[in-house]
Amino acid sequence: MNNLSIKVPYVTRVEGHGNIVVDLKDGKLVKSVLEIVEPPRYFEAMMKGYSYNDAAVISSRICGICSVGHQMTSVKATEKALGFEVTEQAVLLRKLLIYGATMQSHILHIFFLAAPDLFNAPSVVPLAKTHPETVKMALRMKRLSNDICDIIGGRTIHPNRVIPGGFTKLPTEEQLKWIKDKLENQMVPDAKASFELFKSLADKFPSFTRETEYVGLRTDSEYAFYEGDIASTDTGRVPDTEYRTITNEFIVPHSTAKHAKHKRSSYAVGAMARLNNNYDKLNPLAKQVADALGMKPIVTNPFLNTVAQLVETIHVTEESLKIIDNLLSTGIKPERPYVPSKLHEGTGIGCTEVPRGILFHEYTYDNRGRIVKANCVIPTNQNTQNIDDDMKQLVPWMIDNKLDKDKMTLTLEMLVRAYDPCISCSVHFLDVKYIE
Amino acid sequence: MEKPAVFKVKQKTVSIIGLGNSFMGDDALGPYIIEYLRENYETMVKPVAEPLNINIKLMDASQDPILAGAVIAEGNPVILIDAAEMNLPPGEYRLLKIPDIRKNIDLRAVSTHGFNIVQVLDMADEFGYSEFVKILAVQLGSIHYGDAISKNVLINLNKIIKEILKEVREINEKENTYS
Repeated sequence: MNNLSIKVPYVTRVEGHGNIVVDLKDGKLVKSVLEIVEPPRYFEAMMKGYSYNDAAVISSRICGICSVGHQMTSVKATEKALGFEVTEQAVLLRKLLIYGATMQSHILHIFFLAAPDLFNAPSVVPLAKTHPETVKMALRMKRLSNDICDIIGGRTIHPNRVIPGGFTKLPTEEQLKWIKDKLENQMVPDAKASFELFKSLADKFPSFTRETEYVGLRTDSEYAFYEGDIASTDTGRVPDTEYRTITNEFIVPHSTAKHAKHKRSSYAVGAMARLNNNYDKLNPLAKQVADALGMKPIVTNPFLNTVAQLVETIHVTEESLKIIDNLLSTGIKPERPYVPSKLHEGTGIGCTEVPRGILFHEYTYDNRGRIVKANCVIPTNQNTQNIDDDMKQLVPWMIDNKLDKDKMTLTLEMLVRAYDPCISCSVHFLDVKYIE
Repeated sequence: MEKPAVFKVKQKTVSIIGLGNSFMGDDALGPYIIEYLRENYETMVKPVAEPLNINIKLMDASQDPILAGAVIAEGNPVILIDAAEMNLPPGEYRLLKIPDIRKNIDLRAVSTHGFNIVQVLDMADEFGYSEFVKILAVQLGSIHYGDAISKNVLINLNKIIKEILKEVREINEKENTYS
């Protein structure tokens, strides 16, 4: 095949609007990119002048699916900037909230966005007829994970109980016991059934591989989600204060979302990047599932990010149970959020592993606790260049494997979907001129 | 004598689910009504639920229609509240069944990660639960970003809530009569 032109306008089953463009002329790949075509949303500019109490409320509105991640990262940046203290109990509850949000986002992607490709269905709707029990299971899992966010965060979407310095309201021990019961008796069996399902679908994933750099948080104590150093499979660990040395954002003509690169021309974040950096910290069942599904590091097939999400769903379920046991063993202590005696100027960086990868917020405050400067680096931004680089190798791989044009188009869509991109998040930024 | 073909429900649980974007003018109505019913649970919801011994669940699904799908998948009656374009005066409302939605009504729930309310309703069809789903569609006026709910819509708030609670009673009545 010497000439090929593929354009997929508005890739479906991703959040936001992106186009796939591939142009092969005389055997030479002229263009192979994911165009991000949504207009910028200027969140960092919107936040300027607002109080430290408003930062998380505003920034969490970058996305409805990623609202917990933005909220958590925002309060952590604020706390670091202004020197707020957070109790051990509050940290445990925040982790529980992140795990709930991770579960719900992963389940949405695994079953509703990615799985239809594996079943050769256009969407999940026909699967409700052909595989009703699988779809009901997915909905059940999604609902429980949303319930966890509701109970801990106060709301299913855009939770409102996490504020700088702690929580405005704490869950009761009865509520934690309810979550524990549901996790043990519903989520764990459903997760095991999901594993069996994906084991049976293993040959449906393209076997394409490409080595890249994988970046994720890493701590010595656990599979990092809430905090840690920034770890690279190429260069090791650096503290989160050095995040700009990793992200190195830049602008490309075909995208209103920034791109990022570090050691190589691009790097990947997300479930597979986390797994590649934290495999040794997986809980027992998750590790068993990872091994059975061939997810031992370093995994270099980008399509398997969806499988990594399943492994993580199981891991955070086990981790949530540990946290609940820990909280119940001491009882929920009636704590109030930290109140500063005096505000001061300061800059702080928050970073959290959110479902699509590592998220950074950095704020500078004046001495009245008002935002002077804000910067948010979003996981999808960090993945966009890696997607482009994948596509550059995937197209020749597909030609070598003699895929027809329809199959190529589907495979390219599957690749983009595998990253679970959140395009609306990715176009949050401030300083790129958008030319129509 | 054979019973007539009727709306039949499995359990005495009715879920009321609000859909919409709280920052988008009249699209906020669904979440707003759920919040309103929660705040006024003792005076508005409990007087309906207790005498009928019915469990009324309230859910703000905001812009995540799959949450509504998760509730629908349980096979219990569900009333969805959503802003819609029906070519009616703002604030007018209609209680619709899923087949009514096919008739050129544009539900304005925002798609979340490529998944929208119409797909959720399609899924309810595929599960065979479409008869358990009603949609309280309210004609929107303004849906500009950052707007509050418009007066023309809010003025009908009490009437809309009465319609919802009336439907809850009717669902219960049908269950008691025919199941």
